[in-house]
Amino acid sequence: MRLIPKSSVNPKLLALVAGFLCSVFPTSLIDSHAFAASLQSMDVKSVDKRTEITFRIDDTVRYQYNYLPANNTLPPRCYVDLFATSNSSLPSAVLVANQQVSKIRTGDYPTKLRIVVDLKQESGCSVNSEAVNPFLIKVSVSERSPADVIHPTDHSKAAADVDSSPLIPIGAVQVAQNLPPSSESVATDAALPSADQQPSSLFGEDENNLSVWGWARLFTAFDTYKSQAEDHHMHRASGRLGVDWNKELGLEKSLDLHAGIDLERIYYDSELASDDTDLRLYQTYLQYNGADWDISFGKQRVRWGKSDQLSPVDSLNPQDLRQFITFDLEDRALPSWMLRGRWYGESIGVETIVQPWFQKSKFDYFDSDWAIYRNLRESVIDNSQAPPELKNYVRNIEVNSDKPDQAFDHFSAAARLTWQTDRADFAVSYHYGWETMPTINSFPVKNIDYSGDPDVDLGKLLDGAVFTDEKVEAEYKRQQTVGFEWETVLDPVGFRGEVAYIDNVAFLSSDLTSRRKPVTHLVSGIDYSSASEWYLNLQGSWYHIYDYDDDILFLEEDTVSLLGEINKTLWRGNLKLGMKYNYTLTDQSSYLRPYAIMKYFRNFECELGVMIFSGDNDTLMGSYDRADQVYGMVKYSF
Amino acid sequence: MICYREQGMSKENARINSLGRLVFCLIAILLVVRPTLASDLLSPEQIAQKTYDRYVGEDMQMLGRMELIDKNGSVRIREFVSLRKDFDGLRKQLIRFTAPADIAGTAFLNIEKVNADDTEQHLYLPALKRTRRIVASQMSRSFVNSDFTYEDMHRHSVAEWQYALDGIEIIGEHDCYILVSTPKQKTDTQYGRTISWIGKDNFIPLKVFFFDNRDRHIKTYLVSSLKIVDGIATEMDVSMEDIVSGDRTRLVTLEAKYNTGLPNSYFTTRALEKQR
Repeated sequence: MRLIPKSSVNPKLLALVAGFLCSVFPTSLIDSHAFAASLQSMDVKSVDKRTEITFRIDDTVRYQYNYLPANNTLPPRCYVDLFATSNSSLPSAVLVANQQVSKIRTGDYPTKLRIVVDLKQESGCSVNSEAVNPFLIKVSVSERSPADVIHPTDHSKAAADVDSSPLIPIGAVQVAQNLPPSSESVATDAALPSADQQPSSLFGEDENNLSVWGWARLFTAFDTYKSQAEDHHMHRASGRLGVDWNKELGLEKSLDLHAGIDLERIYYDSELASDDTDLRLYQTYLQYNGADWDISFGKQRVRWGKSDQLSPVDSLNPQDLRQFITFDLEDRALPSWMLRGRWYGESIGVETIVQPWFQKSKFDYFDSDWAIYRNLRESVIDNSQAPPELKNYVRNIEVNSDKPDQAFDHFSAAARLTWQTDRADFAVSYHYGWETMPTINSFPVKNIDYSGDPDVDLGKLLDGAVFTDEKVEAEYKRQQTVGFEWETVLDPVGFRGEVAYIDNVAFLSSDLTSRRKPVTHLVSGIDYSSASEWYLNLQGSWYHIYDYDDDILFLEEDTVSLLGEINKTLWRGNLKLGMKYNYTLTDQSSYLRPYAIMKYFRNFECELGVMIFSGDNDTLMGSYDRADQVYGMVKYSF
Repeated sequence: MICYREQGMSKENARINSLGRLVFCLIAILLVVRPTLASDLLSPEQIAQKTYDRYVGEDMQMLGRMELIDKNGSVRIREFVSLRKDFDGLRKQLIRFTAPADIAGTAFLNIEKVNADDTEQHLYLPALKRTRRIVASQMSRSFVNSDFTYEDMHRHSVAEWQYALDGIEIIGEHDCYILVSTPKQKTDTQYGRTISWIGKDNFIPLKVFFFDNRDRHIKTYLVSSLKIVDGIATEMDVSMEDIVSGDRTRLVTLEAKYNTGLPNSYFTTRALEKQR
């Protein structure tokens, strides 16, 4: 039985229907495995030092492109893959006689058409499309550098330069008609650049990238308690200017230069305190980066450890302790000269450091709230009952500081092994170095028994004291640190910590000399961020002094503290209210620092706060009780 | 379609002819209509899966600008670069802020297992000079004080939600599926449901309403412009408006590139600490 008798169907009608179907609906919608489009024509145009090649395709297609440098057999070239496209017009190779392009080749593949433009020299090559009648692919070859690069700060210029397909108007959501269905599987067909090819980047791989940055900061603090012997206010103006330079040397190889200088002036109102003005090199180092390793030399700040505020494993850099813990750890750390090498495996990493020269921490011996001997000297000088000879004696006390010279055998070295899993990070480290605070071997005033109390009765303290012509003898000694760190997430908190064994730490004792003892210091805690922008950081610290000596000031054999921070961000990040805290459970002394930080104006940060030390006078925090202060800080970054 | 009976045919032959023409007409109609029916026959789950699976390139790099616009119209601008790559069953994304100066260098690495709700996040703060892990599960937190939360920056596995199709609507000149998504009981989300307008031709969500657990409309996501970049439809200008506060965050893509062969090493904690 014939369903469609030959004579009963008008062939013209059949052709009309078939043509109607084919013209209105692309064949890819009916049969997704047939090619949707075909290449219709090619046009080559030379304009100044630029060649523009326009390919006309009869339908909108998906495409990708890449640039390949010359190799042993092939010239530099760029190629365009047109998916689901056949070639109905071009021969397999077309010779082009102009300055940029030598030849255009085509190749038919099961799922795409590849067009290769052979170049006469390394050139810039960009590809754009226009959904015009119906689809154009434009390959533009110019004499600029190979990668189609855009520096992040030059995006406005780059946006103007790039000849892009028309931007769909804002306000009406429109998409170019007849996009290929997004369910089309492409992963196995996508011809990604091979591993030895430099990816085209937005980040200026072939350029020298230079950025200048810096900040200026003014910090001022006023004591809430005024006593004659204390400094009542201090001001610290500082600034930093930095330069970062980067040059790409090849696939995953680059050279980085970081340089910075600091300018700083600290002013104390205490008569005896000396104002400090410093101009110094900050972080300045050269780093060579390989695919899975890097090496750097220069003045560097290297942060080991996982905990906040207190980090026993973070022993590589000295600190600026002229304002004790009133400045955060990150602001206290001082870059030091080191040669650093790192290797990165899949989950294991190794880091080694050699520090050729010793660098001490910054601190004061006398005449500031935060000095080793606090304001003890000024207490004597300001004491109306102290005889002039005594005042003169203390005024002339000098310090002899024996620092390691720059001999080769005075180097420091450190190594760290890291291990990273999906869930956690671990590290073990060893540092053979120097203690950056001095060991006081001898104090010129003998036979005294100081409790650490700044309100001590000087008469009783100095009764029976022997005054010698010696200097304070300070010496810097070797120190080794073995550390272990961890960090993970225990939903909904982050959990991190570190523990270090330090073989020798100097502690001030009641005769104003040092005792050196081994120490274990563990800091561990959690942090939590809520949806309503609360942040809580809670850490516990355990500090154990081995072979404890009762003469040691301010610390017990075991000192246990709770420390951390709580804050809330308001006003879409413009304002943060918070408090940092440190409460010593073993002696009930504490340090609280409520603050408010405003960042309303671009690049400006303003902070107001209070620092409150509490506790018995012979405890570490309590001994700073007279140093409570109100502070303000303004910082501008650029 | 014209079906007709020629003169002079016997009744039987005419009946057969009619039947044949009817079959032919039906086949022709199906050839015309089938593609349309095919897409209209997608189940809500299929629509969701196609949206999830939409081809977005094997890798992508972009320069972007984030505008935080408060209800009074004042604007804070941040600039950033973003890299993304899919490999080894993971989607890795690195975002580094380049401006303003006080946050420049802050970088964020997100590692997401494809088709699984398992995410790892790391944050690098230049002031701390170290990278720290952050809790990925707290998805309701605001991303860098914007109106996008970490959940908005992350793709939920399709299996974790239930879907219903609520019709077709035109946005601009595009037919969109209106897909209502409701989280399953054990799904960790801040949203009670979402309504998404998904382009039928590109499976891009062009508009999304977000509702809280009390079914209050709290946020609106809107795509203002699309552009074909390297053959891939790319959202160039999107915004997220907080209905309750009146604040809005706009993300503008200044430049984008796909499939440039970004090395895997660009998506490591080591890369977070580099300036670029």
